[in-house]
Amino acid sequence: MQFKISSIEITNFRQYEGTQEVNLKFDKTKNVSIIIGNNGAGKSNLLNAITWCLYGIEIHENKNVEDSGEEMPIINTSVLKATQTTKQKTFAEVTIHLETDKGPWRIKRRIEGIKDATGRDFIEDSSLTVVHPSGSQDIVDSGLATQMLINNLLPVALKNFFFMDGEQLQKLFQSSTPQKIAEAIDNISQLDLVKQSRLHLSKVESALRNSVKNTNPQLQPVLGKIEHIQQQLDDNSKTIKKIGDILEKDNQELITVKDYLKTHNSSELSKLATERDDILVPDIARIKTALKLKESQRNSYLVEIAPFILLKDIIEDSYHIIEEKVEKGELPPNIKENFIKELLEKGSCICGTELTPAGRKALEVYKKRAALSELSEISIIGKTEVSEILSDIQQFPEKMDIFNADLLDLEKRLKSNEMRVQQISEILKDSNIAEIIENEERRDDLIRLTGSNELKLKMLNREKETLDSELTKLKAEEKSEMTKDKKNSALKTKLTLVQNAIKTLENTETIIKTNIRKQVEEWTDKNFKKLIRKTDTFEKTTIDENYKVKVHHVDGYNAINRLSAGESEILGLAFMSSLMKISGFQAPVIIDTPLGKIDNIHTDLITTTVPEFLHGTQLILLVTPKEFNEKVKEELSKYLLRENCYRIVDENKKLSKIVSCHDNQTQ
Amino acid sequence: MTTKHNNEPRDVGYSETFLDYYQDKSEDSWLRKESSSIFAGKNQKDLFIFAMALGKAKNKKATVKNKQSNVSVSAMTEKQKWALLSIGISESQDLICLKDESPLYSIAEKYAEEGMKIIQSHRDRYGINYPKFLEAELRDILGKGK
Repeated sequence: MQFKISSIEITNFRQYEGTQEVNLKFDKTKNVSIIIGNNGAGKSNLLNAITWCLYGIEIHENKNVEDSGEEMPIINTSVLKATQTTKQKTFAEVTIHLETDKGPWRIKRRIEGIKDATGRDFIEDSSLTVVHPSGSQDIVDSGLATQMLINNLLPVALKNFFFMDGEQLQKLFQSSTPQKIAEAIDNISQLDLVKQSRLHLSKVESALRNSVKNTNPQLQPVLGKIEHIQQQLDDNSKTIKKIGDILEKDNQELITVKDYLKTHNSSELSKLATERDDILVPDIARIKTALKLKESQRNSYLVEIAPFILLKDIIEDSYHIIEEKVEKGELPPNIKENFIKELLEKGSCICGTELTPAGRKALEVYKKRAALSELSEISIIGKTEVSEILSDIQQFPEKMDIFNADLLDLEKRLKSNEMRVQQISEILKDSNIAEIIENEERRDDLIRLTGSNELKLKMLNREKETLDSELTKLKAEEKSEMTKDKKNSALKTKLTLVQNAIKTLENTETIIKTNIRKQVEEWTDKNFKKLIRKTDTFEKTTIDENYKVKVHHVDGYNAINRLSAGESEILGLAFMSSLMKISGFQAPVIIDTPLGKIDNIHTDLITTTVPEFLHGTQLILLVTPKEFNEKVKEELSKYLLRENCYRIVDENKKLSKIVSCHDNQTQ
Repeated sequence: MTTKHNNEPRDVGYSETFLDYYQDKSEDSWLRKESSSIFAGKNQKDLFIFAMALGKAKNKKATVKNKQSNVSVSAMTEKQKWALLSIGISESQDLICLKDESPLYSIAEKYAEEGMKIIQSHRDRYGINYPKFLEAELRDILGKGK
């Protein structure tokens, strides 16, 4: 059955308080609808609201976790909190109106709850109501069986191929998802009738065997063995299924963890942290100390030399005065000034001769020279000291140049180290090392777990093969024993008939599944080639008997894990499209953040080729404003009805409203 | 090289106003090791000679009020002493002044007194960049002499 979404009403669901409505018109050519919202605004929860309404399952359960780590209730937290005061139950509700080829449908899922005085939430199970046309009447269905109606529109196993997250779509075919591919192919193969017949015949076979057992006691050991082996085979199948499910889940988680670790590397980060904390920070402290010491040495030198330079002219003057006195011989050897003074006062020589006027004059001159002669020693020492001062002054520019060069070098090193520390801190600020280490440990655990489970599966499959072959032998023995006993001949005929029928059904199932797989393979290959436009790079796309999808590169290797985000997303769309083609399930395609990690070339392909390729299929894109840039807007304008553009306005991260782009622009 | 100076005073001093700057135990001391001043870790005699040279360079003297005779002359280096004595020699254009050095130290105190005021104003004006300013000033003096 074909269906399209004509409107979505969301009431008190997650961050949508009150009722928000999105009405979508459909046009075969203009098949694209756009809902724009920032990260965290509520795009994913809009997708969640759709899958929750249809299947009671949210695609992005892990995103609805509060800061405290607790999962947020489906009912809007503010609305739920208000029930503490009103003491009356409240609800969250999502209603989807569909247009199907048999008339309109209304699907409503509602959940009620209350918060008690202590703050504990009491949330009831959700209820589903479907109003759908039957003949000329509308039938209202509710209760457990109602889910079947939705599954007839689009089986739950196929929902992930129609309602998806862009990033999940990019990872869809990474090596560990064959089980999901198998499940999808199984679903579209519509083998329910065959499977049910097989189950019924197995019960008949068991009942027949019990009758045989009662008439022929000789057969009992053989039948007992058969029963025992069948029990073992049942247990074996259950264990294989259980381990297979765990393996699938672990492999999915491993992809997510590995993906996270591609951009978060603890060894790189711890190297950076070591560089900062063990090398740069101590080095900065050392440089700062050295800088302080060097500045102190320079200051000390400046304080010591500055007076000499400031007094340079005076000191030079003094030097010249001393030098002149020396040159003129005015600094004679030490003569006692008092002796000359005495002679002048007495007016006679020590020999008693009176001093002549000329002699007195000469003595007067000599008296002054004698005063200087007392200063002879100190002056000569002074001349040496002053000379050294002048020499020190001359060295000033050179010494300062050395100080300055050393200081500059230290400052440069300091600046460079500080910049590097800042750079590293910026990188580390956005990285949660504990989280990275946790993920690395989880990756190692998962690798070990998946390895061990793969081994277990191999062993179980080998065991199954052994049991199967043993069973075949026992059944032959059973037939032979029964032939000996005529009473059992009728039963034997019946048993043989049933067993042959089971075998035929098994073969039929295998043939159908193989055929469907081959058809999906063929269409996926065709669609991928059509969408990717790189006919010279990829030779073909195949889905092997183990449901592993392979993209064969022209150079001969499987390129599935080397595809870019854009190529992977296009492969996902090609696969989804082939399921649609083969199964006849015509459901809307909703993609959350389709262009998130996509390069420009593939963005162009997705915004131009995909809408045309999905002609006639409703394509709802939940995009960020960054994704919906001018270029994308222009490219999609050909496929976008003006009325089908909505914007999620997040007044804060806990409260969102959906408004029409048109209304928003006119406001 | 040491020699016996004539009537060299035991100490020189400064006005009480500058006591805090000279005393290395004072919070405001320019000589404390922790001080941000260019004189951090230096001695009183270094500050005194520096201030004296600045005062002389500007050729300004000031009276010492409530003199604090705390700067030991014997602690001065011979070069510092000869820088101080050079002022007297140059001003008198004679060496006779060396016969009694005491008046030369008194004159130096007056120059140092003025010099302290100049240092204060420079510190206020240039802050932590004072060493850079001083270096530029000294290079300028040497440049002019060439």
